[in-house]
Amino acid sequence: MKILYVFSAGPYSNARGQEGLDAMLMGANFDLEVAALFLHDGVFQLKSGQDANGSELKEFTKTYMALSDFGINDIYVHDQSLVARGLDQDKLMINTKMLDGKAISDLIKQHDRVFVF
Amino acid sequence: MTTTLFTLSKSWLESSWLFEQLGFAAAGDSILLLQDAVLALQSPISLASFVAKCDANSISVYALAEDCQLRGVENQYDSIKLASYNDFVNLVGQHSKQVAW
Repeated sequence: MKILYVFSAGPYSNARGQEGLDAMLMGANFDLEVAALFLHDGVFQLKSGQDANGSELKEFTKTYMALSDFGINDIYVHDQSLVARGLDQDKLMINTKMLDGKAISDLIKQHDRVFVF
Repeated sequence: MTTTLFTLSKSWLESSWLFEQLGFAAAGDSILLLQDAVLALQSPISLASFVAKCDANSISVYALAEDCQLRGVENQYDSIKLASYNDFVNLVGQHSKQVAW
């Protein structure tokens, strides 16, 4: 079973990133083939330089840096979403594969289930 | 060929990026507009390019009739078919998976 987890919201103002991350790690623990796709404001989940010091919030996004330890190596980012937000691969905390809209259509086709967070 | 049913539930003003990308649907897929996504049907302009691109790419577009009726929304698009809840169930059955945007 191949599952695609889609992250479409930025971190901290809501729990969608944390929930998506929890669900994805759970999937990986159950030996499902897991991939992550970051698009729209979701690309900010991976922005390096996040600093929760002095706030009440937990910097849960550090967990993204451990994804490969959980066997999650297929990490995709929508190229247009990244560019539109002044970002590029160098500003992300982990290595990702860039996809255009057509490639994302194909990616969705290749997965049995798609969960949007 | 496996096909996907994409449901869009947010207003096009909030999720214009997703409408521009056709919800990442491809030929043979269907898009069903639900909840606030049906609000766009009232203006003949708001979805014009979306509908044209879907037609050109062989993507079927539906809107949930009950959500339109509830909001008093009048469909201005010939190529957007109104779907009942029964049609919704059939659409789910006709596609191999669903993506809920």
